[in-house]
Amino acid sequence: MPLAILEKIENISSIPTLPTVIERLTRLLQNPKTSAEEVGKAITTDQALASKVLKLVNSAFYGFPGRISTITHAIVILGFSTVKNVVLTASIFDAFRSKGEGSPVFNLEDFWLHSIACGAASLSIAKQLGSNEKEECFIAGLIHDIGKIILCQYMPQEFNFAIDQSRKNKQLFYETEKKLFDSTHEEVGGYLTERWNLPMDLQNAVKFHHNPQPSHDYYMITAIVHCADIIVRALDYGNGGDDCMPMISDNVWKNLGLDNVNFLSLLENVHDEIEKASVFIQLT
Amino acid sequence: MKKILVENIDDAMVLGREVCGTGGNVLLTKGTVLSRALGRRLQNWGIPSVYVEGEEEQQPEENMVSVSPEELDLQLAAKFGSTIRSPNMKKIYDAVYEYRLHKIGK
Repeated sequence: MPLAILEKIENISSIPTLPTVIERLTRLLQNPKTSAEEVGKAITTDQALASKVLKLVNSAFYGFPGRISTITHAIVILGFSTVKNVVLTASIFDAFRSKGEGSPVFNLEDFWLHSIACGAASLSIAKQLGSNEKEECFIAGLIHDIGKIILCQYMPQEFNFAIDQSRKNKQLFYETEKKLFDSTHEEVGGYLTERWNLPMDLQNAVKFHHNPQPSHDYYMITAIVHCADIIVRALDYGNGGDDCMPMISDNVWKNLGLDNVNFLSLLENVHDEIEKASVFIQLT
Repeated sequence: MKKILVENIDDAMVLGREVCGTGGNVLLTKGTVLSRALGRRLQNWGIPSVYVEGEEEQQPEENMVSVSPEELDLQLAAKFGSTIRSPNMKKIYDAVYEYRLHKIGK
């Protein structure tokens, strides 16, 4: 009998929440008359978050090392949308910071390294393909496995057993949990992104990164994360819980036009982006 | 010739290889004398790194262990498992093999 993991997760009341500033920002940015000062004020109501945002925007990742001193200045230079994405990223790290230390079979440091690398690889692929959703691709790659953190923290026994089984059987964690629980970290992560009211493209990338076909309108971003996950596994950046390689979907290969991509140059760019994204490791 | 991140570009550095944009168009030709301002512009164009003239500093890669090409082949074959039978996975495998060989300086 499957354990109906998803049902159990849905009944846990202490699942992390995102700060209210995210909702306020979304509302503000829907109004074309909103000024940089208003957005800056909304962010600085949460001082801890504001200082993280400043740390991120002053890193090599956003390209302005050490020159942005206020949130309003960040908005003027980087734009509303980028700053909102930075706030979202910092908030997601905050929601999980210092919550548990992984387990004997699941190293959290390796997990976050894999996640950050997947975000950076998604960004590189998006750049190579000329996508307009580069920042969204970064966040989607960063949070694609967020369901694993929830499972590790709230259902450690079942989670550790599945990790152990997938390593012993040299099977993808995704396949093992499907077999054992009839639910996967994709569904758990998808549930969390829905509960957090994240944009639909991020919800879909989390829910369908192992099989992007059902993501319809959000196929491209999901397909990019699917491909990025495989690339960072091949390059051994961190570890998401198993040591296997998923098969790249034929549809993803065709629809992203990967036949025309110079993979060697892509791998070099992935490496550079991962170096630049190392600032995120300090947030974990 | 050495590869550097665009934010590390300094005045008077000389471009060792042409720089292409994401669409494949040539943005700067080999031999161009660089400046910090040009570095910032490259950053805005989404270029992460460039090749400049000068001796490459050998820096050990954190996740690259020095292995022979044969050992690397074995490691990757074990990692890819049966997925390597897919022609598309084989393309990824070949690129990763070449990339990692280059990184470990074989």
